Amino acid sequence: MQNILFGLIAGSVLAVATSGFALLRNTERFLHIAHGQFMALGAFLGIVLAGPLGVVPAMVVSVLLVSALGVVSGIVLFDPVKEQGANVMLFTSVGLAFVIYAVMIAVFGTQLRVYDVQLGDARDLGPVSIAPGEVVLLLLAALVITGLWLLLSRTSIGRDIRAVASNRELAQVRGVAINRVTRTVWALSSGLAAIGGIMMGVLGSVTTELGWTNILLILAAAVLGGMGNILGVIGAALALGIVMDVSALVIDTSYRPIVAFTILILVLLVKPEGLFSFQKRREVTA
Amino acid sequence: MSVSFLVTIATLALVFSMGSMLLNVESSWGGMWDLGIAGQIAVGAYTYALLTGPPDSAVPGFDLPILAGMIGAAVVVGVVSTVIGWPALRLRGEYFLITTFAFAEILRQLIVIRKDVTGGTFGITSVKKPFAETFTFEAYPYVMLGLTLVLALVVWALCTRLGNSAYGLTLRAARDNEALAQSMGTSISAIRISTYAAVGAMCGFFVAPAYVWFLGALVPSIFVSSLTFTIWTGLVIGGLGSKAGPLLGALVLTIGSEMIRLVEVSPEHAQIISAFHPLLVGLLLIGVLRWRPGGLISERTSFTRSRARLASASATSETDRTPSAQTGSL
Amino acid sequence: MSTDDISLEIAGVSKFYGGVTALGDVTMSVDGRGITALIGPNGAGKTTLFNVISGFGGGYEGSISFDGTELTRLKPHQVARTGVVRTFQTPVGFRTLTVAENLMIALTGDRLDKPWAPFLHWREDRRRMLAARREADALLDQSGIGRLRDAFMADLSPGDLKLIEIVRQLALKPRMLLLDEPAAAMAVDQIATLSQLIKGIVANGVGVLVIDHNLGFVLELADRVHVLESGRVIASGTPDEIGADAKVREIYLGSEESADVA
Repeated sequence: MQNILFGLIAGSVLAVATSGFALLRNTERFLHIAHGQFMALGAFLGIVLAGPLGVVPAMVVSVLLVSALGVVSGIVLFDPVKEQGANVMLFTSVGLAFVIYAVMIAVFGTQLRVYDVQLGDARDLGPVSIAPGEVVLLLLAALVITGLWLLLSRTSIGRDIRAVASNRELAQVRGVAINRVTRTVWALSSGLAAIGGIMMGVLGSVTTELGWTNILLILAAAVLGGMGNILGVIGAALALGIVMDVSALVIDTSYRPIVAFTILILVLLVKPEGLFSFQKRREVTA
Repeated sequence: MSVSFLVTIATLALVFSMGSMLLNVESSWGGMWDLGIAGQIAVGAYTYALLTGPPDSAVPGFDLPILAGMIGAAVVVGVVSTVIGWPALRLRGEYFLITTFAFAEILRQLIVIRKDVTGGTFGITSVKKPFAETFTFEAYPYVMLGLTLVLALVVWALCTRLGNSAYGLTLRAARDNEALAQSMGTSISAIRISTYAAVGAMCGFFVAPAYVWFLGALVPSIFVSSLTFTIWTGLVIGGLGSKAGPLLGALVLTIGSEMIRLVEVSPEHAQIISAFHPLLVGLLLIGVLRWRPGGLISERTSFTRSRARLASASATSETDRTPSAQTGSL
Repeated sequence: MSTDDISLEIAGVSKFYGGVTALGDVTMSVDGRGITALIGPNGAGKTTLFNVISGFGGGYEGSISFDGTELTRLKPHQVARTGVVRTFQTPVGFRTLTVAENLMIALTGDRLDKPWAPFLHWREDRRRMLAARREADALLDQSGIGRLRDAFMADLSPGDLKLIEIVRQLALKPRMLLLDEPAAAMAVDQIATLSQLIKGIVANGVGVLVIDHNLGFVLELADRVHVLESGRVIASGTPDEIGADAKVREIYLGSEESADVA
């Protein structure tokens, strides 16, 4: 039972990060490998800026900075190669990932860093024990995801985003402000990455490898969730987190990522559209 | 700038170039964008090291001769690639990308976990290198370079032969228009899985051992996605789908990113040096894709000579045929 | 000789999409010699019939056979092997390859399409490549487009692509060729080459079934015409008979097809 809770916490952090990834994939239609590096960058900035700014303001500023970086990348790097297709955009994202990774190593160094945040002592709450910090994280994740859902379903920009996600060409013909949608999606996606990175940093530690270790899990959650469906992606992330932690009861913990990827591959073979998708899988290739 | 330093860079560049040339066959000509090549090289490297390693070291090996190790690595990687390829190739496009990416990481994690077999994160520290006893310590890097050069040229010749053959033509046709190739009698799944397995086997025979000889020791952290993307960047720079391009591209990339080590810096700045390789890979990847996506040599240019040769061979046999008819009548 | 009896028999073929009858009890006998045309307004079911015959059609009722061989429910590459070959409306072909190479795919034969073949069967591979190239060149010359042999498919005009589509499928040595809108988007001089090409094909004993909206082109070529409307055959006969048929005129008068009559 305790493991399920741990899985839920890890899964909700993964869900926050993956929802940003899925948002970008649905509207811009490519796999943004650098998303992991955006997470890592968010995590690092949150720590490094905490000195001058204080812990919480640093987190806010970090999210804003990473969002801005996302928008700028979209304009400068990705829009110009869009017509070359999804494979080129993917490798451009890989290139950006390496550049960010290199800059982080050069500026922040390779040692481990931790957040100056106390999660508090674990208290018993029925069958499980949980620390107040962990509760805050869970609530924050729920808040962020709810906010995202409300934005997508209740606002006009959200409606535009969904229109572009379901049929970009048609949306363009119908007069949707594509550029505005693109900028917004980049900002949201990068911001979500930063939030996910910060949460991950608070739960554990931050190194320059954070981006690479997480991108595969994000890919797995996105694919399992059916990509076309943000809620599905969130559900898949939670499920993955829980399965990985529950499996630690029966298998060695070092096998955790293997469990995740094996599930991914098995699901892809059986139901390529993902576990929760209700629409036919759309492929994104050059 | 010492000569031995240049020799080392050149050797590493040649190892990566073999990876890029083989990746080209399956990814550019075959249309299978494989993000898991580091995993296949990892399997080959560990198989070679374990087959040829001394039985009395911390990670015991079978002490087989070097050639046996190379063949063994080829067979094992070929089999593993077939096993991975069979499910992976049922998926299209981005799903294939993700699956190969995932498989590479699974393989690497398995290597870390099974430390009884592989030495875990500490890895394998002694590897059998060819001609190690016959040459002096100073001379050996040159031997290494010569050997790797020979291997790279062999790989280049093999890939070129593949490209010019009926198989190569069918492979590229299947990449261009799968449905049409099928309706003309080609089994897409057969050609793809055989290609994926063959490329894997060749990585196991050539790339993995050469990399192991170069490194002198093996740890799992070498075979992270960064290796895959380095090999990809060499290919992109050199020109997707070309024959000599991947060789050139890998040379340019490796030499470029290693030359930075010549710059003398104080220890605090050492991490800037280690950041240089990923920085260069990233910038080159972004830049080439944006401004010269065809790379140094385009696929079309690469096949010009072989096409011309076939065309003229065809024409010379026509001297005893009646001249070409005008419009239509058969 | 019994080859006079070769025909493509379509019997009682019906296909439904949801509530729509794409094909309704279509029955016709297409002569294995000569040129048969299939005309009708947009949405009449002509391409659907082609898809059904060539194995791309999914589920349908009825039966189809060619020269006694049952084609019903065969897969596309199996249909092609019986000698019934089709062309595609959008004739993209293999874009990065040359015209000659596009034909060579049909001519290199089996057994060589594995990665070990260029090494284990070195000489045979080289021999077959050269033979395939020669055959491709000959076929292109005979079809009047020899000058295009080393051009890249990606560089060619739609009209040239359509011609090559036909010639390439000819390289498969079909006994019956299904041409799907061969004259669409072609310039007048290209249509002339096309007509010559088709006449040449037929003179070689290959049967042709052609769909096109260009009535002038099609009626001038055909020996026999079938007219489809809303999935049903409403008229069959010689081009003159069809041209004079009141029902047919009614369908075409006032629709955009009548403007296509050359």
